[in-house]
Amino acid sequence: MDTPFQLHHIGLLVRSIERATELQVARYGYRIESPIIHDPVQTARVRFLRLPQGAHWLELVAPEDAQSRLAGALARRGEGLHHLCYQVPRLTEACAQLREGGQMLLAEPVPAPAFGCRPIAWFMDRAGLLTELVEAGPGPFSLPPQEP
Amino acid sequence: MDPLQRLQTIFQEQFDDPALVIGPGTSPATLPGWDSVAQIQIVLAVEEAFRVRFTTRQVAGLRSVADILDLLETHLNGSY
Repeated sequence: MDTPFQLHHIGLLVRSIERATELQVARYGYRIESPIIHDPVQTARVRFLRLPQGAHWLELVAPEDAQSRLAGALARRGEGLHHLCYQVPRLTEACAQLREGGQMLLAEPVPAPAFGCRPIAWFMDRAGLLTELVEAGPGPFSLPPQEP
Repeated sequence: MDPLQRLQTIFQEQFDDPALVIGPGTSPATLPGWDSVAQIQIVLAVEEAFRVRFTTRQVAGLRSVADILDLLETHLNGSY
């Protein structure tokens, strides 16, 4: 089945980007692919890692400060899986598809500084799983287009 | 089953509490565990149960069971 969704990254919520980086590099051999980036939309600090032959990234996400909404999630659930992100060719169409499928759009799409201001959108399903969509295009952390 | 009763079933399932009783005044301030994540899960369950779709802005404006009932009424009466 053809699908417009390409797994782009897995987001892990962590207390410390620095400590989590050390752990992932030592444990699995991830390579550091970005500096620590401030993301005001997520009220977070993030960093991207990737395995040498990996097709997608691992995003380490930490609250920017104690007031970040991520700080509450960290206190409630602890460290671990935070979200899955898919790259899509056309964000508007993909958003409509997820919404029709019963996921909730959490906010209108916004440009993401980490992705060269390509637009992103966030969804949540009934199980509480967060999904991020990022539109394909030029800029950092862009997956090559899918083979037809 | 009237909308409030159906909402009550949804809330009971969401909070895993078959004895939970809600009313129009029930809100995040009066119901422990009704946080932002629970709110989305409740709204998605309401959409599925009543076969409606709300906008992101409408969902962000929900502050109580009464708000959910009012929003449902506008959709079910076709005035949305």
